[in-house]
Amino acid sequence: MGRGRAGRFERAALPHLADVYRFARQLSDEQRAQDLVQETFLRAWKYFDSYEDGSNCRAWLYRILRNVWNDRGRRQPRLEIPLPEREESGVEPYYDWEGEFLRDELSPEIERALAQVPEQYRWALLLADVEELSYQEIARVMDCPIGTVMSRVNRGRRTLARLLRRPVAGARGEVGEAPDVYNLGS
Amino acid sequence: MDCKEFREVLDLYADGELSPDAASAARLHLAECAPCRAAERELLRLRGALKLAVSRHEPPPQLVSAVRDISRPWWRRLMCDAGARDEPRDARPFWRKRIALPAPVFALLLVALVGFGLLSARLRTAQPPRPAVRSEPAPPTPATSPPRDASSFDFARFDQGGRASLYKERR
Repeated sequence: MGRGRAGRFERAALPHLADVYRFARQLSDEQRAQDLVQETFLRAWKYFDSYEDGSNCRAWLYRILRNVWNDRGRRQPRLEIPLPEREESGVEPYYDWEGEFLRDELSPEIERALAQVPEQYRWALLLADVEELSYQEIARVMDCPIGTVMSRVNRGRRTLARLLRRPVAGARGEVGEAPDVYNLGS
Repeated sequence: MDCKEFREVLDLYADGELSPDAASAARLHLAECAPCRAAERELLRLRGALKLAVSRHEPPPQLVSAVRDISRPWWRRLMCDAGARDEPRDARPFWRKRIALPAPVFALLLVALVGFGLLSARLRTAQPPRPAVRSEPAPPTPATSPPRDASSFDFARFDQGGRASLYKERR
């Protein structure tokens, strides 16, 4: 029985280790990301009997990661500005997406911009765009209604696009972190 | 579907969350609207760039082994640790392979071995061999019986006489 459980765990959960780590890495620094991932898999092993075979194990792991993240947040409050209520609902249409805001962005630049996206939007954005979970699955992971997921994904993309576009809007020398960002490419 | 309606459902369309009817209406609009096609392309580029940026990170080896150990019993962990130290794996037969033992386990084994040796040596010196007849009730002997000598002793009572005959020969 024990070996069977361990075998099932190794087959179902362990293949997602790299994905979970990459996700955690977008939430915190390397050391904390490792702690988050280890705690996530410890809990996953502990409660593995509650996992239904055949369901999306990755989504299940992200839900655990979300709980670990919330628990850690309670113990070590993060400097996160709460989103205003109006931001949590409604979809902002992409009226101004024609211009090619996304130049040949480098990955560090994108990560830096992503780190500035508010936490709830970042979660939704990563779950939708990187992990390609359905809105239903994201709603389960984030423990919120589907309408909220829709809004968070939309606003997350908008915010990220705006942050990436920012260096272009101003002169290069005037933008805070822009100069070294541009130097990365040369 | 016009541009305004399409832009409002662009996320849902790109994420495959639209109903089949709404998705086909969106596709129809895309076919005839270049700006909306550009907007969709940008969104997909953003998604691709994000995926690429996130995929740069690889979990460090110590994290991988720590997570793998979570579901492993301790004896499998020991075996895997020993195996990992032997890498690259060699094709030596098992009797020529090195066995890796953690220092505390080795020390414990050594102490146990020395302790056992000392104990057995002490027991051997403290207890001289006793005759096997001790457990059997001794036959009643007459009070007037003469003192025993070697010739009158019943050597057959010693383990079927084997060892007794040796004693006899020595005498």
